[in-house]
Amino acid sequence: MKRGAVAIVGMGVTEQRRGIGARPLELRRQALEYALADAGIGRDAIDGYIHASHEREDLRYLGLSPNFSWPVQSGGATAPCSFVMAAGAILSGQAEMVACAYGMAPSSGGMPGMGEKMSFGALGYGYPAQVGMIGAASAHALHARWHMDRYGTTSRHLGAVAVQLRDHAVGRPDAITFGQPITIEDHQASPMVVDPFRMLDCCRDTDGGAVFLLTTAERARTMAGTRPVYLLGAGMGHNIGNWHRRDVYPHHDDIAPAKARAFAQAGLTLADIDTAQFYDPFTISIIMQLEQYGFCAPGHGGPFVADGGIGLSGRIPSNTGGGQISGFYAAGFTPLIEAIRQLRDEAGTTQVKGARFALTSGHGLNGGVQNTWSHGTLILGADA
Amino acid sequence: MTPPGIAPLVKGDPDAPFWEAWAAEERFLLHRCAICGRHDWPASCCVEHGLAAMTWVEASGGGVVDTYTVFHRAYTAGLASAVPYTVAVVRLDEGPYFHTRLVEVAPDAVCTGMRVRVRRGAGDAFPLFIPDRAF
Repeated sequence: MKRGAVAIVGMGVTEQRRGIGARPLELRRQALEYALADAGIGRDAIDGYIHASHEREDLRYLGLSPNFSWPVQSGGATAPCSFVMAAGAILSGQAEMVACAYGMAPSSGGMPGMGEKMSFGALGYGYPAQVGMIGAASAHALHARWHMDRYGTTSRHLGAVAVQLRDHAVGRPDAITFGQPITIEDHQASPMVVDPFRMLDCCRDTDGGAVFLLTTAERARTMAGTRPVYLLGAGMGHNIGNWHRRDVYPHHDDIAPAKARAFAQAGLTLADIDTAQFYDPFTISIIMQLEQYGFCAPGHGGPFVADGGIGLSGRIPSNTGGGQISGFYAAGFTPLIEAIRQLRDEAGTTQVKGARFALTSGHGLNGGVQNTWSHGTLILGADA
Repeated sequence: MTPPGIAPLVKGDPDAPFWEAWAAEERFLLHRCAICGRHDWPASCCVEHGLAAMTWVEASGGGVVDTYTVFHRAYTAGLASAVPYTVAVVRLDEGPYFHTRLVEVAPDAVCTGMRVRVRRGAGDAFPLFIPDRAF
């Protein structure tokens, strides 16, 4: 992919909180209308639709008439995958204006008209579920325990991540923890859920929708009143390779190939990145990604965060909206939303001054056994 | 090297030999490539040689705890009486990972690197592991 050939010219984000009570499709409808208004275009301009769902009613309900409608599902890596698919459609001449849509309502299950309450029993994969390994927390806990025993990472290091994310979120009105600071003592006192994770190490499901409009850089330059953000580089890696190499637990993901491709396409190095927005369902995720992207040495992620490394004045301000843990859980779209807000100078109390280049990540969808998931890296820029 | 060829279709569950050997005699099998000697679990193609040379062979049933987690919360009603319980990833002596529950050991006595072995004689439908105190 050529650096800067594709731009995001519209973003629509609904409220993101627990128990909204609107269906996923309706969340996508409102997000789409916000995005169209943001870009100053009408529904008829959308000639490609990519959605992170398996529902079939989107085009009819949303009033869209694109040339294609593609579902994409790679768990928490769906967000970067959908941008790569959109770029592929645009650069191969299949579409000029692609909408990438997300909308989920996991915390409204069981409410009137909303269908069944989600069962955690469904979140077990394969044989490990037979011994009670259920839920995403346990899968990430296996990484956390490995890291703690190998490197001496402590519960207080995990807590430093939780406190820093909360510090970022308290001034951001759309964060679910807006105005609710915590201390390291609060973290240490929160109940153990799946060791070594306490309640404050974990994100919570929230409802919400988000739609992004992607087009060519040439078209973006003609769209007066928009604030385009450019797709500079993208890369993918899959942790199943580490399964085959018997090296899963030291790696949160297979980041190396994703990072290499994304940075090569962007023509940038880590030193150029002004802010990072990591996929962060659990506190260990930030620590291990900081290490594997190279912002600090292996094993040093905990002290790096405890020393303020991901704060606004730190080495790499990260997850500035509070991330998934203290902000909101829009799957892999949480990091993308915040990266775009940063590059558009719309990040409020946690705006990184003059942010030009943002690193974002997504990860998810088991490749056949626990902890073997996709990883996607996107590098976005305020300029092409 | 020349690929060993295309294996015939496996009818039914590819993992059936493992479960049948465990249920009948508590024999702990792994899938092994006869060409390179690599073991896998569950049934898998060898990353170099595909399925053609894979056969089920008896394994030691021993290994070390690579990592683990302790559930303090029951995510299903059926697990309520089990908490707290330990789910471990055992690195089997032959190489593969094996996710299991550690039993006959308190969660706070578990550590990474400890020797464990499959428990026999308890009628476990799924192979559970216990500390290998002989080691």
